[in-house]
Amino acid sequence: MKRIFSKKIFFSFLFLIAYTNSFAQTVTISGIITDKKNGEPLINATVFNKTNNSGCTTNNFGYYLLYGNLNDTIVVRYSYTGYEEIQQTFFLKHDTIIDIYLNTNIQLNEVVITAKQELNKTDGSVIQIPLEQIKLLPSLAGEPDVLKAYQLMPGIKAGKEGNSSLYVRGGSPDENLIILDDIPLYYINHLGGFVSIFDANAINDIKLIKGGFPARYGGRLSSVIDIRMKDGNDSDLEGEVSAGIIATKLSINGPVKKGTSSYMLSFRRCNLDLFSRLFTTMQSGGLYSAGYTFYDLNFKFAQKLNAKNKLYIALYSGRDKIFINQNYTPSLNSNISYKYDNDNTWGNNLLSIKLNSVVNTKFFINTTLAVSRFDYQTNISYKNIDTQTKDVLQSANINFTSGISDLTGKIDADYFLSSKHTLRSGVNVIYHIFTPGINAYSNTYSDNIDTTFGSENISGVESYIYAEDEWTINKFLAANIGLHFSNYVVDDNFSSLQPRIIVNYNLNKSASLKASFTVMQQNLHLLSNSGVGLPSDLWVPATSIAKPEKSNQYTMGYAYLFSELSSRLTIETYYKQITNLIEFKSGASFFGSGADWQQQVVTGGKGNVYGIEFLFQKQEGRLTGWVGYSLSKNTRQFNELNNGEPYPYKYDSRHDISVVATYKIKKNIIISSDWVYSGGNAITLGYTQYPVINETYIQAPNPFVTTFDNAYIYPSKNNYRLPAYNRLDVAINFIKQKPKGERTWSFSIYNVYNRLNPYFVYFNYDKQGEKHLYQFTLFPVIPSFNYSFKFN
Amino acid sequence: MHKKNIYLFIYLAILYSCTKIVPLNNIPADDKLVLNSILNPDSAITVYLSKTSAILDTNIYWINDAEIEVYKNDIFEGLLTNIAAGKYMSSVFPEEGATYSLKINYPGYETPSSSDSIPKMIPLNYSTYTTPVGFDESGFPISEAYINFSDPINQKNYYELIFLEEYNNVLDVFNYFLETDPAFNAEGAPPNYYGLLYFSDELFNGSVYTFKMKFSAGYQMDGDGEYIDSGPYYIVLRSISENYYLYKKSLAWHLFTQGNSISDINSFLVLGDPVDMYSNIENGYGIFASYSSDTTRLHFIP
Repeated sequence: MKRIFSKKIFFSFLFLIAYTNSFAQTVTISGIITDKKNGEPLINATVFNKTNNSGCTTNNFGYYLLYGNLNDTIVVRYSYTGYEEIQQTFFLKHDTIIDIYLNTNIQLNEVVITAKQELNKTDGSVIQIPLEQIKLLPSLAGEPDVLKAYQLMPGIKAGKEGNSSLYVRGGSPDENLIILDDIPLYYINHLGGFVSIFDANAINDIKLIKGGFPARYGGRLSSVIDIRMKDGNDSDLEGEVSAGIIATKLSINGPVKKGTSSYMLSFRRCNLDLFSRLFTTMQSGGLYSAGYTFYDLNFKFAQKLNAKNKLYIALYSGRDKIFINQNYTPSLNSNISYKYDNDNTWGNNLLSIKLNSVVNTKFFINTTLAVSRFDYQTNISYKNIDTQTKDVLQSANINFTSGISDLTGKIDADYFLSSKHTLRSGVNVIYHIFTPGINAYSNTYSDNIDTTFGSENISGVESYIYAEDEWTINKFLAANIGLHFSNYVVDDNFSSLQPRIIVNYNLNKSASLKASFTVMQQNLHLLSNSGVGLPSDLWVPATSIAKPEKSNQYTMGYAYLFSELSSRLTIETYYKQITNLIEFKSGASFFGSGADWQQQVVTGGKGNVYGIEFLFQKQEGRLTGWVGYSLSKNTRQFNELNNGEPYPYKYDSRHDISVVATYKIKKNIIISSDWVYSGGNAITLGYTQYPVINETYIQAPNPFVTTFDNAYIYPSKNNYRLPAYNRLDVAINFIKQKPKGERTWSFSIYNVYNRLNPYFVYFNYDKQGEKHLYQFTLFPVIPSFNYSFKFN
Repeated sequence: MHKKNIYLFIYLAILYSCTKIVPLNNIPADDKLVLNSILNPDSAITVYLSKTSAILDTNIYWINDAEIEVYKNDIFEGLLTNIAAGKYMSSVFPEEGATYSLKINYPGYETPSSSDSIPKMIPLNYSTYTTPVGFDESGFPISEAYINFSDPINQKNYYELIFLEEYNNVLDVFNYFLETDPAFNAEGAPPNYYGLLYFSDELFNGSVYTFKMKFSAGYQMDGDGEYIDSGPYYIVLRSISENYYLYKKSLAWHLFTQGNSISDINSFLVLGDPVDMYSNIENGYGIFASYSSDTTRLHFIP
């Protein structure tokens, strides 16, 4: 009954917005805005009609459509952060299609930001940092990371030091919807979270939304990270090679047929195994070698089929590998040698086919089909080999697999209904297959009991439809109003109607107010024993026991543009309620456990997060950067944990500050720096101890001896605050134009003043036998360098 | 095993790292009595009494002048006698199937109390082992043990299994197994747990069950190259109370997640939050639990 009612509301809404039309005599100007140098579409570029102060932004494919009155003469300004703007005058006699090519300005010092252009947007709490600026920022071990730059923004935290996970407004990393060319990815970290899987050379655009989510997005609670791969230069061949301590990279892109089709290929490989294999082989005298490596491969092919249709084929493949290889021969005369190989691998694979169709100038459709898989595998093999004949005398293989496979189909449509209404709607279906195989502890005993006692594969169908209206109500007021309806079928059927309302009110040319209300639902849970995001963390579906997580988020904000300083101040406050959270029961773990994961979790958890964020950004001039401050509180509550009392979330910190600055010393020398401060994370620490009886075993006629261990009494969950975190990083970039391209040397120092930040704490005894609490610091001061060469 | 390798790169990073003392001032500590006692029908009733201390204190505060009352099936049995630092004993041996209660009187403290019922012994039907059932990565033979017992019907039972090795009239507890039975695996013991094998009858309730485990011992060759018994080995099967089971299970996790040295980095990186220590003592801390046991020789089957 409730479901039928929800559907009625939804279709009534569609009907209403379809008939909310403007019947004025209007004509349109539409087209694609691209980077003049490489033909990449510019996403969220601004198209502004200076004559009547109206405007729009480009969609994810660079497409725009602007309305004007018949027979008017209008001046249109096309602009995009980091690019020189263009102004064009049109005499509006009929619909016009015009593609725009903007010139990049890599030094980021000639960007013109006007009050109107920024204040007109109804895109909620969106953060975008130009990729060229990200590459100039200091980095850990010389590897620029596109996600870590976003950790410097208010409301976003890294969790553990060096980790590229994002904790957005108190949400955990699994609550981030991370989509690469419209397809969700699950595990996005390499190297224990120190490097994300996104190679900056393969990325065209990243947008992070932390509140006020438009209806087109769904399936996660706390943020949307929308990443677009480069299409490839459709006119000239270009590329980049770079080498640092961690990785070596090569990217190349160019036309297949000029102006019609293009490709982009990017490959990154981790260098660490080269050192570790050599080191461990030498250390063990050739007995074994061990190491770690990863790679990322991005490929995209774009083909203009005709004036209205463009086809994209995209591929991402990334994999991490930790390995130990051992060869052992007991003696020179031995007839048998033993070989032991242990490989742990994990990674994502994604293949998508996308068709963009401009049905007519007002109607834009994007159709996507994709298959993706994340998996984690352990392969252990033993072999006994005859040293003379090389025959394998005995062998054994153990294989563990866990993963999640998705088959996705989606259609998104943009309909530029009138100068006041842009409608977006779409449908998305994902068929999931969950393989929580890590739960299945395989065992050779199988005669009278089922030894494969872990969780079984589970399939589920997640689907949603949405509709949203970007509505310019009047000169001052604009809104994005939408509905997102999702349905999820697993062992039960879960439906959810999620209203999304984002309102923007311009107080004057310089100031505006924003407010939003969004309801989100997440049909997946991430089971994690760790705070560091290991690949063995387990994605599991929402079920009738562990129901889908839900959130309501309310935001209110104020923005002010200081035109004379080319700066912007935003203040935003938010309140987020999360329900149906799950956590492991005390002491439960999926490692080595035979119980189904549903029996090992506590369910029905609640989260409450609220805070206020300040961001002052300077986007123009020799000195650019921002200052961010966040004041927040983040708690969790489970009936079965902490006596049912609320407790601080582990990454709850009251105060977070970040200062980021990029300064152009000379035309070819750019220095950048960031400083971060964060209140200490909350951990559970014992304040009291007592002796608890135990048995120790000795070699004796009666081997059992009574002994005592120290038991700790934990007053409450997350009762203790670690010391505050702070760190300063500095980088200097030397750029030089060469006959065949541009060379950049980057030198970085991570943690310049060698602040010993706590990674975790533990109790131990000193030489005098006194007991202390010790902290462990992961990254002291770390210098690094990176070399890159862009050729064209 | 695979977890160790996941940490490999983390350990590489650790080579770079450093530690320092964190000042811990004005930490509020509890002040309560602590009672520890494990009963079994083969030993006289013994209780250890102490009190809690602040987390950085390196002393144990034993209490020698308390009054400890013992009740059997709610009938007062007598007082225990203090015989050593914090150690109180009775000359009475507890009985299988009886419920015992303790009550402690000590001035200035709340009165701790607790009770537990001693489970009935579950006899071993047979216990055997054979060699070899395979070879390990170093080429050494692998042995396999089979421990058979009958789990009572319609009641929840808990067990602890101990493997003893005799050498020159000295017994030693053998606790390094290559592969353990699903009944134990299902308990989800901490990684690298080498304690005794505790488990419930969750997977075999009411049936005759053969508990199995593989180990790298028990092999010896005669002059003809045949494997022969290298024992003797003994199996102790303890029928444990629910309090004992919960205490053993939480103790394993509690100690593992305490992280008392840098080598316990796993607990911080992988195993998440600390685990509370189970206690069944009212108005205090500690454990009062019990078991009954049966022992039999592990016979070699060629």
